Amino acid sequence: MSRKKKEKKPRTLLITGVCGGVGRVLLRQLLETTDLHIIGMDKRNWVLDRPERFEFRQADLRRSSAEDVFRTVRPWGLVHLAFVSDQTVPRDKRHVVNVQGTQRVLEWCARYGVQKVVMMSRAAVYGARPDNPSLITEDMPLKLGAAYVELADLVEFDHLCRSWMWEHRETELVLLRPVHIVGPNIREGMLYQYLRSNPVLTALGFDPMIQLVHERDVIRAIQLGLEKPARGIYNVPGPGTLPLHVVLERLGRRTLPVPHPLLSLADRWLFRAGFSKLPAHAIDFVRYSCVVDGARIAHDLGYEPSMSLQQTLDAVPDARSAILE
Amino acid sequence: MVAEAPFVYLRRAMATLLDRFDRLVLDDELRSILARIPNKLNEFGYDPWGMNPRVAVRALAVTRWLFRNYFRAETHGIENLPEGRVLLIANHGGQLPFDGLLVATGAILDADPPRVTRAMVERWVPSLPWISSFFVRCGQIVGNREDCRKLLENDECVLVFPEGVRGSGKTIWHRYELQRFGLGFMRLALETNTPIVPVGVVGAEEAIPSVHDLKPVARLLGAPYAPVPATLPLLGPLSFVPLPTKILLNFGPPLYFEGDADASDAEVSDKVEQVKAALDVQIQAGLERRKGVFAR
Repeated sequence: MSRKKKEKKPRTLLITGVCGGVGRVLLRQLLETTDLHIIGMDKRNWVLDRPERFEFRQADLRRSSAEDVFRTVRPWGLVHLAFVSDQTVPRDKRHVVNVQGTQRVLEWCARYGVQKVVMMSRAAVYGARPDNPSLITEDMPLKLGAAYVELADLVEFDHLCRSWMWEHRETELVLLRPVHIVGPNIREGMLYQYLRSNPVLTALGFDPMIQLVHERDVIRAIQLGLEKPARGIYNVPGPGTLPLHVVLERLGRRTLPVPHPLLSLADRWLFRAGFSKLPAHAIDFVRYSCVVDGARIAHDLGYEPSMSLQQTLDAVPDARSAILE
Repeated sequence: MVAEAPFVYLRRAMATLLDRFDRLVLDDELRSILARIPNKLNEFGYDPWGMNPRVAVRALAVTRWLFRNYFRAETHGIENLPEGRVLLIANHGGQLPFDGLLVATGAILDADPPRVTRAMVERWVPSLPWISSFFVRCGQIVGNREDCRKLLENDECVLVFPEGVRGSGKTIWHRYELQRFGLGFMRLALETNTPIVPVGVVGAEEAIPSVHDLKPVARLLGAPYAPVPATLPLLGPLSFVPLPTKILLNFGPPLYFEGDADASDAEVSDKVEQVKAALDVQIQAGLERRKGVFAR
């Protein structure tokens, strides 16, 4: 699994949004298994138990101080994790970071000659639609924006990275579309918010298939994206596909099945009352499947999930601890 | 929460019921099928398309009764099913798609090892509660090319009715006349190098004998066709229940095709005509073999 680089001069890797869940795990993993010189950047300050062998720069993507980091560091690679995945944050605020922030970062990548960029989109960009194929490949249209204007920033981010990839062929951009990420360090994302609800809303008579991927496997995908000479878009599936009810039962969540015509209304009320944590604009994901195909990443990057389905399921944070926070 | 209490109760009652059902109907044959279905299941018993053989076998308990007792169905030439990927091409008729159900039941009961047949369901099915998840658990998927290609690449058995609604909606006067075939299945077969097995279904086309297609009513309902069964004055709405005709399923020898999947329609059409001819042979063989529409 660990593949040490045999180069004399360590390359410099910049990780934006390093204070987030994925960022922290990725940082530890890369410090352990590679000799990359890593610089972390985040708007937030990282004060407690910061690993020693890396440089931390506190900078906001919206300010020029972030560009200064690029200018002075001249990174070889970039892993861009500064992304607001909390769907309860207002749309305009998400847009500022997820779209405008990303656009600035990509501009700097071109200007300062970054050679490798790893971007994290979401498998949710395909949208949960009744006419979805059972296994979605990377070439399928992104239907998320068609029905859920509230989540348009996810699609816009994805398109932005994609068009940039074709404009800047000298840079190897790897755009990852992981399915729902779970793990002890993950405190964000659609599924996380959904599972924090009490009771958890389900659509009566519907049981979509969902995919989970362990944070460690996402890290592996990012690492493979950095190491392999690849560019392109890759779905990152987990070890298997499960019906939603199996996940909810294993976790012992209290569920409230609602007939589907009333689902969005019920969620809006329960969200306002504080019972539901999933915004109503994302509610179709409990009704329809959005299952992705992982053949391309397995073929091109040699990615294969290391965690079993049971291990991945066990890594979904416990409801009670999440609610107590 | 008070509101969820009835649901918890309902779910428990449902689980108990299913358990009883399993104990009541799962005999040795079904158990052995369950054990011998070749498939790629994960630790929780689901395949990548969402099929769960434990649920599918419950459905099979019901369809087996329909197959053996109600329709007295027989399969002939089931040994023609090759191992690995295969496209079943069958004639469509009888207004409601129970012919697909019977072909799938035949392939799982009589083939050795049992074959799970994947049919492509209509696009509106996924938006129906219960039915949507039930279909998926039984291995049926939404009809689109990408899924079909991946199923074949995964060495599955896929059932296609190339006539579509042109076949199922035809009146009793046109029974066993093959309608125009779509070309999509042949392109997929060429692309994935899949053998084609023609399946002549005899008996299903008389099960709901429609004498007329009420096109204005169909347009009004947004349905592809609106059949008028001959038994309507006698049976009323019950006339839409298929009659217990004798069903014969004739599996023909596999056909192998080679060529460019993106060839012109004319070229692909030639190959499709060969399939159509081979299917007609199977249908005629079935018609000769049966002793009467309602024979025992």
